[in-house]
Parts: sequence; C-alpha cells; structure tokens
Amino acid sequence: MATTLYADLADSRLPAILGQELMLSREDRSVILNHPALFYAGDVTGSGSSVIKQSELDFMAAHELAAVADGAAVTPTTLTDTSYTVTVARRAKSYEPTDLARLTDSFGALDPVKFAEDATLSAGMTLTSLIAQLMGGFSNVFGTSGSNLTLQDFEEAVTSLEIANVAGPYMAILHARQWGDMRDAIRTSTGTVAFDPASPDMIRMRGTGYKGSIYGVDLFVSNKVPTANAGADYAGGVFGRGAVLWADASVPVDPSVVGVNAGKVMLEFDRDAASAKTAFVSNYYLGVAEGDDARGASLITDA
Amino acid sequence: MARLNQPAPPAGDVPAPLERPAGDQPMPRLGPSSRFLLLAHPNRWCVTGGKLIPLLKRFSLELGLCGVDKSGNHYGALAQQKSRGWTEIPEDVDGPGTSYLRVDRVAQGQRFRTRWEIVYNGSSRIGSRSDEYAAWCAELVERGLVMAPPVHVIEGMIERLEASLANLSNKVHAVPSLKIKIDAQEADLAVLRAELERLHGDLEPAEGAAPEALPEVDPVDERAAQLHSDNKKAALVEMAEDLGLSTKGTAKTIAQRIAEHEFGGDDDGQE
Repeated sequence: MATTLYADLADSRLPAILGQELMLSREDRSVILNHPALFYAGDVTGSGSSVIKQSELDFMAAHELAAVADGAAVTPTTLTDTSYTVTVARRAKSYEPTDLARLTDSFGALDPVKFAEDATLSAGMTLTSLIAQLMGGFSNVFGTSGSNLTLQDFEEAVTSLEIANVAGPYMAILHARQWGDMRDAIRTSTGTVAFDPASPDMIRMRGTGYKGSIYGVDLFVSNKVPTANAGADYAGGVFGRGAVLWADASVPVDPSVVGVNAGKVMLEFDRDAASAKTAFVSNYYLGVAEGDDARGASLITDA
Repeated sequence: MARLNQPAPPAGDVPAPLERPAGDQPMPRLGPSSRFLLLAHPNRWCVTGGKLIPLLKRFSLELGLCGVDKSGNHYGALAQQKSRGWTEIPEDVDGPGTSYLRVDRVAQGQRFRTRWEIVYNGSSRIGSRSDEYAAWCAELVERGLVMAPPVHVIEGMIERLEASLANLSNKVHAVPSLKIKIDAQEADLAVLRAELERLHGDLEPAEGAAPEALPEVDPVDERAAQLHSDNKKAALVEMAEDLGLSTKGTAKTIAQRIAEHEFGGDDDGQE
C-alpha cells in the first residue's frame, strides 16, 4: 500500500506558518523613566533658541550669617552664579513599509498604533542612551581598571558625592556586567548591605532597568553605558540632581499634519501613492548635557 | 566480507562551497555609535598593564549631547569641555592621515571604536589590546600631550587602594580566590608608589641646593601694597575679559574662574 508522504502534499502544505506571537529582537529596551536625579531644564518651544542656559546660584543657606559686632555694619555678601547649557537637536526615524508588506501582516505589527508605540519607546531609549553615555565622563573616578566593581568602589563614589554636598536622591547607571559584579559582591558580602531589590511595582514605575536601591541610591542598568580604556572596562556612574541635565521641545502641530502627537514625539504618516508605500516618520527634539561635574562620579571597572 | 573484482569506490569530488546569499555576511552584533574624541583630565588616572596612564573619556560627537548642535558642530561643545579642564587628544595625534578611531558596519549603521578594541563578526563581544593601548597612553604623557598626574591624585589613588587591600585581606581567609585580586592590587600599588616617589623626586630640590628664598615684601611701601590690592581686581577683570570669561563677582571669584579656565581647577579653587 503506497504511503502518502508530507512531500507528496506540496500543493496543500505551507513551507512554514507564522508563530502566534511576534517575538522581539534581543535589544536593550530599559528606558530610564523620569527620576528626580535627572534635571529637566525645560522645553525650548517658542523660546527663541535651541539652547537652554541653566543657572546655578549660591543662595539659600550657601552663606552663613557672619559674626558682626554690635553697631558695626555688616559686609554685603556677593551672590555668585554659574550656568550650564543644554543644546536641543533633532532625532528622527522613518519606517517605510510598502502596502503589500502591510496588508500581509498577520501580527498587526505594521499598524499605526504600533508605530506610535515604537516611536515613544524609541524616544525614551534615545534619552536613556544619551544619559548613559555621560556616565563615564565625570572627573571623579572610582573603581579599578580591569577589576570587578565592588561594594567598596560604589560606597566610595556615593561618599564622595555626600562629601561634595551633592543633593539627593542619587541615581546610579551601570552596565549589566557591572551590575553582575555588584550582585555577586552583595551575595558574598560578609557584612550587612542595605540593598532593597526592585519590586514588580517599582519596576512598573521605573522601567525594566531598575534593579533596586542600595545605600539609598536608585540603581539602573543600561547596556548603553560605554566602554572605557579601549574596551577593557565599562564606564558607569552615580550622580545626584544637577549632574545630568536634559531638555526637549514640542514639534509644532499644524492642521496639515497627518499622524499621532505622542507627547513630545511626533509620528507622521507620509503617503507615497505612486510607490504604494507609507512612511511612518517620528521626530523628537532633545538634548542632554553634563551639568555640575562635581555632582557625579564615574565607576570604571572591568568589562 | 570484502568482495573481489569490484570496481574501486569513487574517490568523490570536493563539493563547491555553499553559496552565501549576497548581504548575508555576518557583522558584529553591536549597536551603532557616534564618532568621538578622546579627552584627558588631570584628575583621571588608572593603572593598566603595569603603567599609570590617563583615564581618557570618550566625548561623543552626537547631536544634542553636551552641546553638539543641530548641524553637528562640536567646536562650542569641545570648548566647554576644555573650560572644565579637559584636554583634547586630536584624532590624528600620531601624525597626519592617522586616526585612533576605527569604524565598523553594524546592522543599524556604523559603530565607532578605538583602534585597540576588537570586535568579532557575529558576536557582541568586545575584546581589547589593552597593553598596546596602555603603551600609547603612556606615550601621550611622554610626548607632553597629557600633563603628568598631580601628586594629590596619586596619593588619593594610593589611599583608596590601601583601603581596598585592607578590606580584601580581612576576607581572604574566607574566600581564598581573593588572593588573585590582592596580588593584582598590590602590583598596582607598587606602580603608584614608584610614580609618587618619582614625582616627589622631581619636585624636591637637589641634595645640597639651598632652598629658594621667598621674595621679601617691602614693609615701607604700604601705599604700593594698597595700590596693588586696589588694582588686583582690575587686573583680574582685564584678564577675564581677554579670556572671554564673566567678570561678575569678587576678585576671588574672578580669580577662581580664571584658574578653572586655565588649569581646570575645582569650583572651590583646589587643584
């Protein structure tokens, strides 16, 4: 009796069918949500410049009262200011699927709503990436090149900020390698470590990069943290409010705009009928800069 | 059992190599990154490969980061970094036409790296020729492109390393593998101590040499001293104006601002 093989049914079988769920590629999607240590310098929309100058003044108890003799005139105190600038620039992305690519999409991934979600998440990741790149740039450096990050390195960095009168709350951004070393150090520590691991609620609030709080410092992991020493080390950091400044702008919304205004991110649909395709273009204007260098410390340890 | 009088088995041909579809060449599995410059700071040093080297930072020339403006102009941003005490290591520091950067094609665009970093096709691993890099950094100091480390920075590094060693020594009985780390840190400490000794040797006067006398202040010319004090602020204001700095504040504030500009000192005026 002849056997009917799978190969005999080539016209009634498919080479492959699509899985029920779309799996995302392996990328860092840990958006660092707004943390009090990140100083939002403002929105430049309608301000007359793409640069925001953030002033700093030695006021509010920066000067103590002087001892003055009875009847003597007090010497006036001079207020001294300084400033840091944040330059806002454009970031953009465009996907241009053809109609055929979209109409055969069985997942609903090439849908305007999904493109809007992608645009907001990507904007968040861009901000995260820019902030993470600043971590290795503070002039105060802790850790040992070629050695794993230790609790002592972390403590020293935090202490240096406290000595420098840096206002809290503090935020740390480490590479996953550094976090792995830190976790190991916590596990093998012989003393008491004030580590409060991230609860599911906190992760929902602060993003998947949030790992918990240690010595009162909110610890985030981002693989956007750069390398140092020609790839031998990673350059994470810990900082207080005022070390990292960021600013953004709002894209003007005209009646002619066809798209989604997702907060500060504008997603527009640009139809090219002749080519039967639609471009999903997102635009976001933002800037990140180092503010007061002394308010941060880099943690440069083995990669 | 072997049969007799059978033809010899075919030797077989080497198959032609499998054709790889165009565009399927593996690339490093790393994200894109922007071009950058390396900057040195007097406070940032580390021991690598048995050498005390400047711990250079990557100053990313990315739009919207640290003042890189809408058209990609980074000169203002770089000037800002220099005013904070950073020294630029030019990309062609080793001669015209050379660069310490390399660029690789990655899935989402381009990725810049230093020439001592190694990337692997199809992998996210980043390797390092750290000994070559350390030698290059040490050369930057020898060539005078980066100033030698200040004594207080090395002293601070020694203090931290000694504290770390004391801490590790307390634990080594419970965790014997820490011995490797202790040995590495002791080697680093020896490098730092030798460097400190060398710097102290440079600073101290030669044996038998008379210490340099401080200039004497003429107590008689009080008027001149007063005039000097009055003119001090004016001179500082003039100097600040020449350097394009703010002239606001007291003489001390202006002096600090100039010192910061010239030497990259801290806000409190300490070097």
